[in-house]
Amino acid sequence: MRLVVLILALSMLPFQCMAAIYQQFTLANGMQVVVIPNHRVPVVTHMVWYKVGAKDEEVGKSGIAHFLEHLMFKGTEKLKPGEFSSIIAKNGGNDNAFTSQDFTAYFQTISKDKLLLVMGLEAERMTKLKLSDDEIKKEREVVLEERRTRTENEPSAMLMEQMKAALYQNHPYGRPIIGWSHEIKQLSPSEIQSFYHLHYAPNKAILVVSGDITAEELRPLAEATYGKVPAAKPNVAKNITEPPHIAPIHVTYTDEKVKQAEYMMYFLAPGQRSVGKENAYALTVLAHILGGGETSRLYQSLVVNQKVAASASVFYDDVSTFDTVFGMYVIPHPETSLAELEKALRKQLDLIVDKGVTSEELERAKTVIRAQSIYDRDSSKGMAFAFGEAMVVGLSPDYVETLPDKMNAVTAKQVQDAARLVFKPQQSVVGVLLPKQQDAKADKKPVSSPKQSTARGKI
Amino acid sequence: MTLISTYRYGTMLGLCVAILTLGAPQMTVAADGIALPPKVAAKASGGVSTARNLNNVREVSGKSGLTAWYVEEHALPIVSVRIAIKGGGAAYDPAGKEGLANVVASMLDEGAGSYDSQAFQKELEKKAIQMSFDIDNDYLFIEMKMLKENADRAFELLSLALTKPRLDTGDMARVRKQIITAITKSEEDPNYVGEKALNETLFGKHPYAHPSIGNRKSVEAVGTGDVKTYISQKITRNQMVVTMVGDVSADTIANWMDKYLGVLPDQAKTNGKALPDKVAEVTQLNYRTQTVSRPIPQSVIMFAGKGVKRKDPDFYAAYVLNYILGGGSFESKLMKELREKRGLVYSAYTYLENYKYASLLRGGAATQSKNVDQALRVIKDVVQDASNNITEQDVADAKRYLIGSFPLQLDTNDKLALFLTIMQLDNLGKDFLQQRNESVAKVTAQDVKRVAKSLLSVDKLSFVVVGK
Repeated sequence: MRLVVLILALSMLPFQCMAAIYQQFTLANGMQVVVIPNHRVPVVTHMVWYKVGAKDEEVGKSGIAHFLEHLMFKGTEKLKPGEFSSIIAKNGGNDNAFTSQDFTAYFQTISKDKLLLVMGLEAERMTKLKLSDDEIKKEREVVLEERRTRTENEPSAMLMEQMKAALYQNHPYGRPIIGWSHEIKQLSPSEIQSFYHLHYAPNKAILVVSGDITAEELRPLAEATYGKVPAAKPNVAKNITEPPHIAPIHVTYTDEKVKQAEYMMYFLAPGQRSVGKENAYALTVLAHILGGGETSRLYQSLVVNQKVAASASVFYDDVSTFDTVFGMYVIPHPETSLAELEKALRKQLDLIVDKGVTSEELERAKTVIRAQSIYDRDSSKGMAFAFGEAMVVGLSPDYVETLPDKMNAVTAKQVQDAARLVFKPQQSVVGVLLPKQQDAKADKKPVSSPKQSTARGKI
Repeated sequence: MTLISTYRYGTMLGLCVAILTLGAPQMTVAADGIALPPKVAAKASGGVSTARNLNNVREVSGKSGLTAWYVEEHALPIVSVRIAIKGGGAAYDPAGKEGLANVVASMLDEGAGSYDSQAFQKELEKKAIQMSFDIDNDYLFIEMKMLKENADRAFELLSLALTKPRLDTGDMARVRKQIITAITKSEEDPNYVGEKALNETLFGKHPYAHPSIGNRKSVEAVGTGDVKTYISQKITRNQMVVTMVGDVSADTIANWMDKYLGVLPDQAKTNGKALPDKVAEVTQLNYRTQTVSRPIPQSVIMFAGKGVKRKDPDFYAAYVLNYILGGGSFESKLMKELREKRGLVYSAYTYLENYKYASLLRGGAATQSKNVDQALRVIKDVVQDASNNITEQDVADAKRYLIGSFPLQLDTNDKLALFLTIMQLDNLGKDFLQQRNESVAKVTAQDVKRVAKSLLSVDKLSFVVVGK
C-alpha cells in the first residue's frame, strides 16, 4: 500500500548513457550555458541558476537570499512591479523561482518562439532590478505569511527546522532557507540591494535551456541578451566547516496541533562536494536499500514484521556543496513507545554496519535506480533541473550523464563502508514530535521537556 | 513504489504557482477544470511541453471487448498505462464502511497468487515496474509505468493482482492501521480539516460529503469480505477505461488486453451481496459560514460554491472566469488584491472541480489570524466585484494564457496518459486535443460576464475558517 504520508520527491537520476545529451559553451563574460535538446514538442524550459543561496547570507541576515528572490518580480528599470510574470502569462508561459541553501534559480516554460523575449526579460533583471521601499514592505509580509504556511503552521516542519539547527553547529546550512522570523523583519532595503549587486552577475550564474533547441540556435540568443551584461568581480569563497561532533543530540518538539507522533533521525553525511565524497553514490544505494519503498529494510522490519510503525522512509540528496543529511522518517503506531521504536530502528542500522547488504538487495536497488534514470528523461524540465542543480554546486554536467554507470559500479562493501562512516551516534540528531498533553507519559528516557527544547545528551 | 527521496520538497522555497504548489492542497485541478485525486495530480504536475501527437489519439479493441485509447511515443523505451474503474470510487462506499474503496486500492499491491506482500513488491522491483492503485470520489485508478521490455511481466503481475489478490489477514490489519494513522495525521492539516468541513456542509447527506479515506470507525469496519465483494463487483471488463502512452503498438495493446485483462469477468458477480452501484446527482448545495477552531498561527480560509458541468455550453466561460478570479497565479484578481496590493497572503487560489455528479468552484487563502477578518472581506469584495466587473481585457488576457500554455500541460507520457483517461471518462472525444483551444477561443466577454453573474454570489458560497 502506498499510504506513506511524507512526500518523497524523486531524485533526479538521469538516464542511461546513450549519446551525450547535453551541449555546453561559455559566453565571453563568463556565463556558463548548458543546452539539453529534446525535440518532441516546440516548447522550452529556460532556467537561470545563481550560485548564491541561504548559506551565503551574513550572520544575522537569514532569509535575505529568499527575500530577494521574491523581490526579483518587483520591477526593473523597464518593467513595473508584477509585469515580468504578467508578460510571461500573456504569452502562454509559466514562471517561478526557488531558493535553496546553495542556489537561487528562476525559470520559465514557454513555446520556443517566445524564448528570446524571456531571455531579454531575465537578462534585464540580472542587474537592473529596481526596488522601492513600499514594495519591500509589502513583500516582507508575504514572506512572513509564506513562513507561516510552510513552517509555523506545520509541526513536522518546525521539528525539522530545529533538527537542522542542531545538526549544523557551525555551518550556515543550519539556518532555515526562508530565514528566522525576527531576522526577516529586520532586513533593510540597502542590505538587500548590496546582496543583489554582490551576487547577481553573468559570471556568477548558469543558463540551462532544455527542450526544442540546440546550442547552435541558442548561442546567438544568449549573446544578444546575457552576453551584453558585464561580468562582476568574483566573490571570495568562504570555507566554513564543522567542528568534530562529539555528542548525540536529541530534539523534542511538542505542539498542541500534533495528533500523531513522529520520529526522525538525521545523520551528517558527505555529499558530492564534501570530504568523503567517494561515499556519495554508495549512500544513494544505501538510502534505497534501507528506506526506498515497501521492500526496504526499515519498512519490512518496522512496519510489516514488528508492526511498530505506520510508515518508514529514508532521504538523502548527494547534490550539495557541504555535508548533507542522511535522514530517516518514521510514523510510529500510537501504542508503540518511542524507546521501543528507537531500539528497533537502531538495530537495523547496526545490522547494516555489521553485516552489510545482500547482493540481491544491491541488484534490486540498482535496477530501480537505472530504470528511474530512463523514466526521468520523459520530463524535459526535470532534466534541466538535474543539470542546473549539479552545476550550480560545482559538479560537471558529466555528473548527471554518468550517474547510472556510477550507481551500477557500487559494491556491497562500499555500501557497508558508507553506512559505517555515517551511522555514528555522535553525528546524529534524533527528533521527536509529540502532542502537547502526552509529553510526560510518552517516553521515559529521551523525552522530558514540556516545551520545545534542544536537549543534548546521550541517547 | 517509493524511491529514495531528495530533500527538495522541504528545502526549496519559491514563489507560489497556484496549481503546482500550494494552490489546491487537497484536490488539484488538471487541464480544463477536471478534478484529479491529489496523488494523481501531484504526479501530473511539473514539466514542459507538447502539442505532440495531438492528431494521433487512436483506439484499439481486443477480442475480449476491451478498448483502449493510446498514443504511440517512441522517443523513449517506456510505456505508461492508466486504467480507470467506473463506479469504483469512494462515493460508492456502503454506509458505515466509508473508506472501503481506499482500503481496496491499498490492498491490491499487497500480494497475489503465490507471492505474499513482500514477494509481490520484490517482483515489481526486480523489473523496475511502477504499479499503483488510487481512488477519488468517482473512480478507482490503476497506474503502471515500465520499460517496454518488462511490459509483459508488468501486465502478468497486474492480472494476478486483480484476479488473485491474497488479502492476507495480517496485511489487512496492518493496512487498516496505516490508514487510521494517516487519518489522524491528516487531522493536523488545516487544509484537510477545512475541506472536510466544507464538503460536509455543501453535500449534506450525499456520499460526496465524506472524505474518501473514510473515518476511523468505518475503516475499522471494513473486512476482507468487503474487499472481496468490491473486487468481484467492480473490477470487471465492462467498467474499465484503458489508456496507454509510450513505445507500443495497437497489436501489442490488443494482445495485452486479451491475455491479461480478458480473464477478468465481463460483468459484476453479485453473489447476493450487492454493493451500491448508483450515486444520485447533486442537485442542491448547502451554504453556510463556519469556523473550526485550531491553535495555528495562520488561519486557513476556504470557500466553495456551484461550478459548471463539463458538458455545459458555458463550461469554457467558467474556465476563463476561474483563471481571472483565482486560477491564474499572479495574474488573478485574488492574488492581486490579497497578496500584491496588501501583503496579506502567500497564496490565494480558485479552481473548478468536476465530479461525475457535481460541479464546484473552490477557492482559498491563508493569513495570520489577526488578519482573517480583513482577508475574508477582501475575498468577498473580489468575488462580488468579479460578478459585475469582468473586462474585455481580462478575458483577452486569460484566453491568451490558456491557449498558449495548453501544450505545457501534456509534456510527459504520464501526463498525456492522464489526459486521455479524463477525455474518455468525460466523453470528450478523441479529437479533444485539437478542439480544445478552439473552444477557449470562442468564449466571449459576454459569456464570461453571464457566468460570473450566475456563479459569483457571496451568499451562494460556503466559507470555512480553520484557525483563529
